[in-house]
Amino acid sequence: MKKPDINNIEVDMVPLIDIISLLLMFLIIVGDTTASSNIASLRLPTADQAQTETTFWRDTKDRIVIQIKPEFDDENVQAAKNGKYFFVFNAAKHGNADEGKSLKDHLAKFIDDAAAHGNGKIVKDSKTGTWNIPVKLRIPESCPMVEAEKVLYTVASLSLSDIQYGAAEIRK
Amino acid sequence: MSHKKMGASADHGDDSGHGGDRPWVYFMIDSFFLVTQFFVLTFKVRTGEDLILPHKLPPGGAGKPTPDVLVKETLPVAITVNRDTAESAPWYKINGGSPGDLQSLNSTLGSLVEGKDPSKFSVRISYEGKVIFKDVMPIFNTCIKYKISECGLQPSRERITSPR
Repeated sequence: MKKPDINNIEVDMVPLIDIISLLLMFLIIVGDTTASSNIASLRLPTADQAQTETTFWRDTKDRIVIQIKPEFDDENVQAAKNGKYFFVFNAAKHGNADEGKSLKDHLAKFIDDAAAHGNGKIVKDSKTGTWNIPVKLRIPESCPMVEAEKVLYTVASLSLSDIQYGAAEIRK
Repeated sequence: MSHKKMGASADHGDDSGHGGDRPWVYFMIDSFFLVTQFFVLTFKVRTGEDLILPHKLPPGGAGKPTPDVLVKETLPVAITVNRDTAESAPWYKINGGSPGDLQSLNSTLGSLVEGKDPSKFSVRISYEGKVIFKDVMPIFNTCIKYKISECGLQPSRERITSPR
């Protein structure tokens, strides 16, 4: 009896590697890094005079970003359950029951560190007595003003006056 | 003599294939897959960057400005914003005038600023309990439109009466 021919089946891996490479490049280019995942998804108010950060050409390296995050993501649930609001700075949540005191302590430490290690770039203006650190505030449009003013007063009490309000594009 | 072509693998001999004489290829492909899986699991579409509306808080807070800053000539503008109910539209009053909507606020502020140096104006916004940030943001927007850079808040009655 004749032995049957044994055909060696080989899988060519090269096209598979090409496709995986393309997929990897897509994920890297289109995806967002985990470092910026602490930016909360907030419904910001619109403003037609608002500009993009790149158009504005501000130095954002030592910028402080503070977000007011509602307890519930759904606005209706937040209103119905009288949800709380938290002040988020550098991924740390601060309750607002202490009128922003814990946020103030955290900010004060950040400013001290930035001034100490800023190579002389972080300074107080000699005339106004305020720090040259911009503060970006991401406040959702449905946030009550009594909550938003807590952050503004905390920021003002630390001699920060350069405020940038986060806004969304005009919804059509 | 006939030469039979056995196909591409004929030249490779018995140890054909990618891993046969190069076992490290499997480990390389495994690492490649692991890296890809990391990016698949952490994939999140890049959200568009925020727009920003810049403002300066008026002096007189904890900044301890020098006397020449405090006594510089300013043209104060007091804007009050309120809502009759949580569902109703907000109304705005400038310098104690009659309440109006956002359009009347824009035109009134525009006529106030016309012909004057906008850097001399200092706007203070006061509000009551039902007002949300969405009602106040258009005031900041209008100030930027008329190049008024100083715009701050008057503390609400709730803030003044609550313990700090």
